[in-house]
Amino acid sequence: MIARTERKWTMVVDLDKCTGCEACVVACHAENNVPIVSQEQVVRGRAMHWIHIERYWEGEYPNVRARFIPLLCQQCQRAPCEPVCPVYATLHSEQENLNLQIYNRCVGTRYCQNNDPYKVRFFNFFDPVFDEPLNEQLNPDVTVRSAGVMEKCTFCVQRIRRAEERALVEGRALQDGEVVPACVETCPPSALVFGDLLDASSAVAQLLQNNQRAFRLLGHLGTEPSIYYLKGGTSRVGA
Amino acid sequence: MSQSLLLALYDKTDQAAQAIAGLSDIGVRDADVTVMSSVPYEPQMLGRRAVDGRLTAITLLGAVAGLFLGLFLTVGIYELYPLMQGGQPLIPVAPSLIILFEVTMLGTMGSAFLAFLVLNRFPIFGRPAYDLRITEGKIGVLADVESGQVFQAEEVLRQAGAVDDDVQTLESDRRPDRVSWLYFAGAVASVVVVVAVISLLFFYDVIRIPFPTQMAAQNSTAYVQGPRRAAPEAAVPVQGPALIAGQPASEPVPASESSLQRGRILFGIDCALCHGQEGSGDGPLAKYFEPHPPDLTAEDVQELPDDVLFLVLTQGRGIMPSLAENLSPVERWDVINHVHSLARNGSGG
Amino acid sequence: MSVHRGDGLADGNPADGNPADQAPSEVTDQARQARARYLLLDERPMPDLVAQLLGPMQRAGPLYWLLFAVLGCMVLVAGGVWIYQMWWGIGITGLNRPVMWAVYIANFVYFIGIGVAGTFISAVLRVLRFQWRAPITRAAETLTVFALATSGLFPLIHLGRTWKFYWMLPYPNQRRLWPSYHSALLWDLTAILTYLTSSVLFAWLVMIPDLATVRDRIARGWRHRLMNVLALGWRGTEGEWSHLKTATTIFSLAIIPVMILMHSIVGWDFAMTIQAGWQSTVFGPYFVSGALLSGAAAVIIVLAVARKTLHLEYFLRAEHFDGMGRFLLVLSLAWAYFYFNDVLVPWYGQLPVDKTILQLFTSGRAAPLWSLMVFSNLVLPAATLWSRRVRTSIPAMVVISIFVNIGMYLERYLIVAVTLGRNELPFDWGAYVPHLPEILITVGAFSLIGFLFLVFVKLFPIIPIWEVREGQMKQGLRRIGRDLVPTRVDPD
Repeated sequence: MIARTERKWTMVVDLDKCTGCEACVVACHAENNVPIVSQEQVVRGRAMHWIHIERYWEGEYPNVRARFIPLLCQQCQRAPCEPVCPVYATLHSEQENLNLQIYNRCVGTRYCQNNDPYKVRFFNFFDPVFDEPLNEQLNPDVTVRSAGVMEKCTFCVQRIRRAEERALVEGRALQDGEVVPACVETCPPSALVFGDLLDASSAVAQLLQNNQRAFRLLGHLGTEPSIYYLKGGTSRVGA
Repeated sequence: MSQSLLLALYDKTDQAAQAIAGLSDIGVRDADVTVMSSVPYEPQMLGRRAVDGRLTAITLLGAVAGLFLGLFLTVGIYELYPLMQGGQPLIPVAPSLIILFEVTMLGTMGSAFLAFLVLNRFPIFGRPAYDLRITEGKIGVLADVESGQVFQAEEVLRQAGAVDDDVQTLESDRRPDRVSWLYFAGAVASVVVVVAVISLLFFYDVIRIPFPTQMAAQNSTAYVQGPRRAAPEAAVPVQGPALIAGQPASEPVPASESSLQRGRILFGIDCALCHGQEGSGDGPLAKYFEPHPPDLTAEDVQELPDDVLFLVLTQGRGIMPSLAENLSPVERWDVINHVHSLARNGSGG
Repeated sequence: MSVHRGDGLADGNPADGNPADQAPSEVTDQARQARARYLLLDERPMPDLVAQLLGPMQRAGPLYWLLFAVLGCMVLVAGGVWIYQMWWGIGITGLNRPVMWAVYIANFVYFIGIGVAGTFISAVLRVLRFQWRAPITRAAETLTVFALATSGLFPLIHLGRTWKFYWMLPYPNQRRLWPSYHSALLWDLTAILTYLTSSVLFAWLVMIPDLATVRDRIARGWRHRLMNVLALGWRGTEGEWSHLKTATTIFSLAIIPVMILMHSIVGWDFAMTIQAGWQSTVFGPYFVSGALLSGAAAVIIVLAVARKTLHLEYFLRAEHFDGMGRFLLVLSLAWAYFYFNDVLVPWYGQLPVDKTILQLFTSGRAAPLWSLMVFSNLVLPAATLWSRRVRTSIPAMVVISIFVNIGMYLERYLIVAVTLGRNELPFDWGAYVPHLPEILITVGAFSLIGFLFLVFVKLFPIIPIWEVREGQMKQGLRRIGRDLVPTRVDPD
């Protein structure tokens, strides 16, 4: 067994910087082979976006404001979606403090989505279709799921693993900034920051130190998410 | 001493009770008298002793067995194969109690039923003494008497008021066939054990069934194993050698004598182990890989554009690794030239 | 009236003082009326009872075959739809994000609920020695078994990858992957296995003496061979009866907590989540009370249908429907109590998401369904079942029971499909509309139960003769000193 250092992968979302451009949504689709469902399916409520921008309107026309927040799997430390899975298709990685989803074990009871307060799990209602030549854009590091399987954001675990293996092979420690999920990589205003919270010198640790703006979504439920949001200046999200 | 079976039917319980009392008076043992009826009479109503309660004892054993099975399922499995979920402790106490209860109950009721079958020696083989009129509501009294007491017993039975004044004398083979039942029970038990053992052989891959798994056949990797698509006109490359329409990925090296010679040596070092010395896909390691390394002299490989062969060497394909670290671009072209020469000459050049 | 020694059971011998031979008098008339009302004093000889049962069993008219064909077709259609769903994916249903559980799970809960009442009648009433339950136990037990079997299909139907369902079973395997008992679905699975197995064994156990009766009456043919095998060679000896009674007692006592826990576990499927509207500590007993209510109503319907079609007027009297009607009333009030519990607490707490759900039910899009549910489950039974005339009128009881079943089905649907559409994050709210596959499969499930019953009544006696006669006999048992003496009441 290869000894691995324990990590606490954490993401910080700065709501003051987020413009709602949805580049992260597209990047996630590209990196994780997330299928595009048809327009009819989206209308029926089956869109599959592992990270999506939740948008609420407030005010009356013409003084309308949009409040938005990027929502992805919160990678809870006490994830309510885990204990309800009868086949251990979703479990907790003690090493990386991630909420894992094992596609080839999922039998599709969909109990996890019922117990997920953030509703960030997505079910493959049909077999995904990747028309040519889009199938050549698929990421070979990531499984393509079939009908009946639940999926969700994994913090680009394939990138985490690849970086860890490279560091191991090269006999060095993992540096901060080596692991970059697709959404973090793409975000134009750099509103997303990712790193290991256990590493005191990492960007996320520094960002969260004594940060008055930091909050976690639905914290009262006690799920202990790994994603910290920083309150925006005037957007009042989470206030 | 031979025994005779006497069967008499009665309409009322006190008639039957009188018959039984009479038989006991002439010395027939309680155990040799059997009462058959269509409703369950209390033994006291007929002056009989109650049957002992072994069924309850066996059921308790079954309950304990169920409890142990439940403990294994909840505590044992978690301890053996720990997997963490949702911040809950490894052995969840309340859910485990539920499972313990359910499995214990299953053990209880299952063993009650089994005990019922076993204690009654169900299913009954042979043609035991019986009369169809018992399920019409009559009460049957069956006496197993020694031949010396037959006459007395018949008198007693008749006097108690037997239906039609008739006491049937049955052949002695009208007893339940216990031996057949033992064979039957043994056969059932053996079948259960055999099925369990064979199932385990399959579950633990001792008997291996090569189930097709779709995990390897991924949409996301399929295109990597197929012929590469040429990039469209004016497509912008991101990284690595790209196919630009109409141009090779890097400048090819002409197939000169020295190139072919270098190619032959490099092929022997890097390629022959899998693809074979002649490139026919019969190298010593070929049989360990699924799919097998292809025959490089075959038409479908030879007809691929050189660019594609160059990309295969540079990026790998399927389970074939990239040789970018082993071969410089010029050396890759040398190997490609050698592969073409293999096909031309039929045997190494 | 005089009491004298004698079996409480009729022997078919008119010379023994059949009251019909005596001169009419007021006492005799009253006695005759009492016998007409109370099963236990109006005995018939056993051959008559058996002939009355076996007749309908062996004949099948055109109506029967028509029903057989229609129900069979609907079952086949449902099976085809299921296969189609497995091929194409769950997407053909109306499910979406966030409503990931809907009609299939509501069906699952509903059918298990129906099964519970059968066990109640068979086990609880047996333990409490309610003799009036005797004629209805087998129909109730059979309903339990069929309802359980049907409901057990729905967890398979709703799975995304049904063909891998066996991963939820704890079988030893080389991957050393075991199911997770943290999950309420596994408790469900264990409980269903236990309950179904026990119910089948229990139903068979108490049916053995009657199978022997049929075996003896029908001397040859495939029916005789079938009965021969299933009756296991029963002769009715003291040992066999003693073991049967002990086993029956054990089963009755053991299956009662299993029954209660079964439906509590089904309720806990929902209560274990943090979904708003589901996370309620009262769900355990609430679901048990709801199950008993829907089950009792279903039993009433089954009894009414069986009585009409199999000519069982002798066995199934107004008294039985009266008893079931009282039971139904009590259960309706109990259900209302638990439901009030479930509504009062979130209403008082005024948490936004709870408020949203309650508003959705009472004044929103779900209001028509919710009102119909409250009417069917509480208002109608509570308003009508106080009256003995209603309770003994079989058509009225059937109508009330149908309404109760509709109300209980709506209750499950509202809890599962409608509540899931609301949660903490309004952006992720959704609505659910049942699509054709779900409707066809639901209809198929109901048809399956009906179909199984159709097959059952032609193969096995639907009235437990030995239990009826045992009840009659027990009614006549009196203790004189330390002896138990069977007696019979005769009007003079």
